[in-house]
Amino acid sequence: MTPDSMEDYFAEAVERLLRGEALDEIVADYPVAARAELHALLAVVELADQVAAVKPPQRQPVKRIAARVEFSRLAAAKRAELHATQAPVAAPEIKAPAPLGRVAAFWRSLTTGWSSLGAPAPVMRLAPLTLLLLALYLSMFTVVATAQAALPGDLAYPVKSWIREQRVATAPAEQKAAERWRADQEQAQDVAARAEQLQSEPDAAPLAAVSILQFRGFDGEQLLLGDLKVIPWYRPEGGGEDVWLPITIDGELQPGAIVMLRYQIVPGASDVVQGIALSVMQAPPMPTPAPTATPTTARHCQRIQAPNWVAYVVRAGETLSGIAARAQTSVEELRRVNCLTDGVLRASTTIFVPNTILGALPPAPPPAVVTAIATQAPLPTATPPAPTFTPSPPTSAPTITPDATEAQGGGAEATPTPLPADGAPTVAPTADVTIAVTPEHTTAPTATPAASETIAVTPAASETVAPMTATPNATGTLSPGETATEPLATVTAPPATATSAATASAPPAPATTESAVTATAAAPDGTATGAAVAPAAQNTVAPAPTATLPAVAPPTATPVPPTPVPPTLAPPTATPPPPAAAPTEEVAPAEAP
Amino acid sequence: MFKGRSQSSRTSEVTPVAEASEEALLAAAMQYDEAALGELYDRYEAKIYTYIYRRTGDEALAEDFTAQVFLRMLESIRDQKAWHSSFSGWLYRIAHNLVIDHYRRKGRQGTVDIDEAAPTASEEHDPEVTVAQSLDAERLRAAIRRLTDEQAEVVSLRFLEGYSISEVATMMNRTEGAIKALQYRAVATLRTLLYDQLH
Repeated sequence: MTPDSMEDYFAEAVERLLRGEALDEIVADYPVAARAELHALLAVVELADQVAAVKPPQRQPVKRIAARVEFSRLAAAKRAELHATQAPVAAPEIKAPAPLGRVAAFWRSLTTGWSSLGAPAPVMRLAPLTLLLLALYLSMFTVVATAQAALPGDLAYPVKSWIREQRVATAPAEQKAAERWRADQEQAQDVAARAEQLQSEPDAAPLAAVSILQFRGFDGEQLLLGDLKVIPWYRPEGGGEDVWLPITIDGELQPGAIVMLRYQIVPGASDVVQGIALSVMQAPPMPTPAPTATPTTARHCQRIQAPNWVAYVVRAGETLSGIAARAQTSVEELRRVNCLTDGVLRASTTIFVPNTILGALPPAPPPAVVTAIATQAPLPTATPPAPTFTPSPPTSAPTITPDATEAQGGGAEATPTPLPADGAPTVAPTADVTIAVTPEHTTAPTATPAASETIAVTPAASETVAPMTATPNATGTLSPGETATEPLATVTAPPATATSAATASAPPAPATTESAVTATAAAPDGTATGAAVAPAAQNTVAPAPTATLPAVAPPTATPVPPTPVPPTLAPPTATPPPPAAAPTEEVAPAEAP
Repeated sequence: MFKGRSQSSRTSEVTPVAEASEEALLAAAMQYDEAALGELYDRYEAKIYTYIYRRTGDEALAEDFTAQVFLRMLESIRDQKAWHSSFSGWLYRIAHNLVIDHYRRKGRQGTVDIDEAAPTASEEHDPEVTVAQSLDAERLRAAIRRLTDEQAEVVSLRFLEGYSISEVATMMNRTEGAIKALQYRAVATLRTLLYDQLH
């Protein structure tokens, strides 16, 4: 058989097979020579037919529907594409939307104007757009650049703040806290820069500004916002020397909350500001761990020893007005500072009065106080004058101090180890009424008398001054809050450097400190203990100090914001007084409980 | 009129999509007319699916490839030369190419191991018969894959799908004589392949 024939035979045979004829019958109809092959071939076709006869299993509708949808979607996309490209053709019939038309006409007029200059049309059409973008970019750049150099009180400062806030807001979750902290720190630096600037201008009035910060806790009466200490009072413009208005707080203050603060920068005070108004913007993300109730607002009056204020024992027959007159201050001032609400002034009570009562001007507060530890040293010297004054308070102070120093184990010498915190804060020694400032730290040791003094002076850090009730003992108390809490037990409280020093007086102090401690304990703001330590320097952490006091601590459980244990406070356990120098940083192994 | 948003005025017919001639549908489909495309999809989707299933024996693969066939169709529908002669033939070719490419990529030109053979679903209730059937089917499919492209196409369209010689000739854009020759050569090769496996 010729191949062609075979093909034809085969084709025919297949048709018959597919029509349903029996294979053997079909083959029989063909020449014998072809039968074998035909049979084999047809067998294959039969197999194929059988395979074809197997119905596919029931299809899953899900996939079918999904495929159909996908098909429609792509069809629609292609349709849109097609119409888009075809649109110009139908342009005449299409009505351009009015607003776009006007813009388009305007644009066209611009571009034609440009092209008339002779430049190639396509490129020139883009020129107006390019110029616009360039102008936009330059203006933005200028604004941002100006803002970067702005300080609180400048016109462009809000822009800078806004940029900063955006940075925080856009930070990834795990870095948000760090970014918040960084922003707060930068704000504090801005404030410090401005304060320094103002200081050099003798007639400068306090400058007001607004910032967004994170509330970190209380340090006595002061609020710790970001890297700033905020006094809950401010001196309004136009008011007299002694007119102070309290800060208005809107919202519930929980450690960790983000607040907007309107504040007044005091010339020379680099990290303490007067709070004018505060409004809580955002509650803290996590439940505040503070177990103890830190006063949400400074409703609780606490006596804070301002710089250049000393402790004075009221003698029989003396009146507030008399004392105020001698001290060249006002009765209101005395009342406010000493939290005297009723009119009775008992004899033998100790109150704080400006050291002008001594009749001699105290040496200018070491500027260092504000700045840093460096001031420490001067401080003690400063205090000496004070010591003369010590008589008032329980003399113990003086006595204490010596002990303290001893306790310090010589650390006292080191005492200059200014409270770490000190460095920073304390507010302008200018002794604005700002109470907080006292760089306590300076109290550091050595100046035992100073110590006592320092104690009085430093309050700042140790807001704990409040415990002040113990202050008489106080020298220790100064740090009282702080020191007391601290090592009280350890007494040596070395690290606490300055504050410690105060406490150093510890041995004798212990007794006192104990009381102080208790006092502090009593102090609502446990922070005191910790806080003290955490000297201003510490970032908001102050609260941590409390930690240091483990022994005393219980009360201290300063609710203080989670801030890390202030490094400075040498944890009580850390007894061995590190060389006074152990600036808080090192000191605080952060034992803080 | 066609349902949909066809702006083309090519078709002045106002026939319901279901009754429209393939020519009219295709003309509208070239403009991506929604209704026309939908009708074409509905007309051919099942066939394409069965075709691919018969070629591969794999349901999931068949679903996948069916969707792909129509997506590819959308991509090239405007190129009239591609499907001018026969739209369905074009679709089958797309499907065929997908199947062939799939197996070429897999590197399997021969038989498929029993373990890897797609699970079979058959209306036959006797398990022995089912197994035998599936073995045969798989053997056949594998054998078909070893044919040349054209031979495989002819065999599939002719014997798996059941199209006549003239229909296959149209779909493949060949003469009937060519198709006859192809089918003969294809089956002869299959026979050799299948008997090789058996013996």
